[in-house]
Amino acid sequence: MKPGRKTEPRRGTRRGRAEILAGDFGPRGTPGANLDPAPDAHALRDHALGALIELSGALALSSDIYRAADALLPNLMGQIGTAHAALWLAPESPPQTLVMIRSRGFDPALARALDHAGAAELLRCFASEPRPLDPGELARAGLGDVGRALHQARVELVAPLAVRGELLGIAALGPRTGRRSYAPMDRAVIQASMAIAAVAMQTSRLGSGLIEKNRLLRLANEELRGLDRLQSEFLSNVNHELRTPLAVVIASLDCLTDIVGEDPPGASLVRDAQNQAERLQELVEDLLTFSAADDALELHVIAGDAGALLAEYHRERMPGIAAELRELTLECAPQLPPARYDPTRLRQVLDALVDNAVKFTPRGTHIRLEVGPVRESDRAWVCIRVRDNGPGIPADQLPRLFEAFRQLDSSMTRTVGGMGLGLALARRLIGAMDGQLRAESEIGRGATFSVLLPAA
Amino acid sequence: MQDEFKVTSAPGRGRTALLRLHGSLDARTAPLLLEKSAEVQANGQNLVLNLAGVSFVGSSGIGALLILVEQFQEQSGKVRLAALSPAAEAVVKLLSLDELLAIDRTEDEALEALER
Repeated sequence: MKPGRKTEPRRGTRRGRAEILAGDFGPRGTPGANLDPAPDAHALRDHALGALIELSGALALSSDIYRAADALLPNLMGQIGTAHAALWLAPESPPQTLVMIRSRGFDPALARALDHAGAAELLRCFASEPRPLDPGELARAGLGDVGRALHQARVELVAPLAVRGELLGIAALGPRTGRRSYAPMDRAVIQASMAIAAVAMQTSRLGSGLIEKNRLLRLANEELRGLDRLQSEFLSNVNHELRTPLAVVIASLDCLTDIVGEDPPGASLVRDAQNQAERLQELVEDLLTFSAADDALELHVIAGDAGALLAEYHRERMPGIAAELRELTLECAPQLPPARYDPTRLRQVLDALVDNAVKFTPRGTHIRLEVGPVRESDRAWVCIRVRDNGPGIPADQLPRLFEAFRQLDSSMTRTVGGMGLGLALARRLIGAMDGQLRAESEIGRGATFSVLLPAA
Repeated sequence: MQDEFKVTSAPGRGRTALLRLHGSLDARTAPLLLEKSAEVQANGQNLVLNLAGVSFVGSSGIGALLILVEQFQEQSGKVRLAALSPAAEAVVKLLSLDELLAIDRTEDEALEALER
C-alpha cells in the first residue's frame, strides 16, 4: 500500500458542503500525482455514511452511558482509522472535573491527564467543534499541563460531546492510519457521530436519573410505611403501659378524696389531681383507639335516630361550654330519616369536633350543631354539622387537618394542648361507619365540619 | 448486511487458536467476536482470525478488530488476520489498516507466523 499524503489541518476555514464533499475525502498519493481520487472518495463517503447508520442503531440499543461509549468509540475508530480513542464526561454536579468513561489504545496515564483541570475550562476550550489538538492554545488558556499530557499521549483531535448547547464531555482521537490528518469532512462526520451519541447519552442520563429518583422515592415510601407500622406498635405498647398505672392513680385519688374530706387545701389539690388524671385517661383512650388497626375497631352499628342522639348530646355538653363563655345550639330538621351509626363512636366523633371548635375559637364563639337529611352521589345521608364562627382555618391547612399528630401550628398546640389525634381518629371512625367527614372554612368566617352518615 | 454472523472455532496450532468468521461484522455482531476472542486470550493463546467468510465489515467491526489487537498486545499476545474476503480487504485498503493489523493471505501463513 502506498503511503498517504499528510495534509495540514485547515482549522477555521469555512467552506460549502459541496466543496467539502467533493474534495476532502481520500487525500491519497503524492501531491499532483493522485491519479484516480474518485473511487476512494466515493468509498470513503459510503463508509462514513455506513458508520453513522451503524452508530445510530448501536446507540439506540445502549442501555446506559457506558454501553453508549462502547458503541461510540469502536465506531469512531473504525470510521476514521485510528487505534486510539477516549471519552470523558462531565459530572452533573460541581465540583467538576471530567471523568474518563472509556479509553481504547491510549496509555492509561491519559485517564489522569484531565484530573487537575476544571471541566468548565476544558469544555470551553473544546466547545465549538472537533479540532486538532493545539497545546499552544491550551497553554494560553492556562491549561498547559493538559495540553502537554494530551500531546504526549498522541491525541490528535478533540471533539465535543454536546446536545442543545449543553456540553456533556469530550472525546479524544489518536493518529490516523495512512498518515492522514483530520480533514474538514472527517471532522464534520465525527461531529455528526458525536451529536448522535450526545443525544443518546443525554437521554440515557435523564432516564437513569428518573429511575434513580423513583428508586429513592420507593425507598422513602417503604421507610415511611415502616415508620407508620413502628408508630402503631409503639403507641399500642405505650398505651397498655400507661393505662394500668393510670387506673391505679385514679383509684388511689378516689380513696384519697374520702380520707382528705372537705378540708380546703387538700380537697382542692386532690380534685385537681383527679381532673388531670381523668384528662390523661381520655387521651390514652384516644391513642389506643387510634393505634388500633382499622379492622380491629369494634363497631356496633345500628339504624338509629341521629336527631335524638344530637339532642341528648347537646344537653350534656351545653352547660360546660356555656361555662367557658361559648354558645352551643342545636338545629334539628323535621322528619329526619334513620341513619346507620355506632352511637358510642359517634359521640366520640362529636366530642372531637366540638372540642376542636372549643379549642381553636375564642370565648364568645357560637358553635352550632345542625342535623338534617341530604342527598349526594345518588345516596341518602343524614348530615350532622358542627359549625362555628371563629377565626377559620387557612385553605392550605384544610387538607392536612385530618392527619394524625397535626395541629395548625406548634404555637397553637402549646396554647391549647392535646396531641392532634382527635380529627384523625374522628375521620377513621366515620370511615369505618361507611360515612364521610369533611371540613370547610373561610378565614374570618369560621369553620364547618360535616359528618355524613348513610341513611338506613 | 443481513447475513447471520458466526464465529467458528477451528483447530489451531501450538499456542495459537483459530477462529473463522462468517457473515456481517458490525456493531450488532462485534460483541460476539470480542467475547470469543476474550476466551482465547483467557487461555493465554495467540489468535488467528480467518475473515474469508466475512460479507461486510462496518466501522464498529473495524473498531472491534483494533480493540481486540490492543487487548492482546496488553498481555503480550498476538493477533493475525488471514484470508480476507473482498469486503474485508476493501475496507482494510480504504483505511490503510494494514499499518495496525497483521494480515496474511492464508490461515497457514498466519499460524506459521505466530509459531516463529
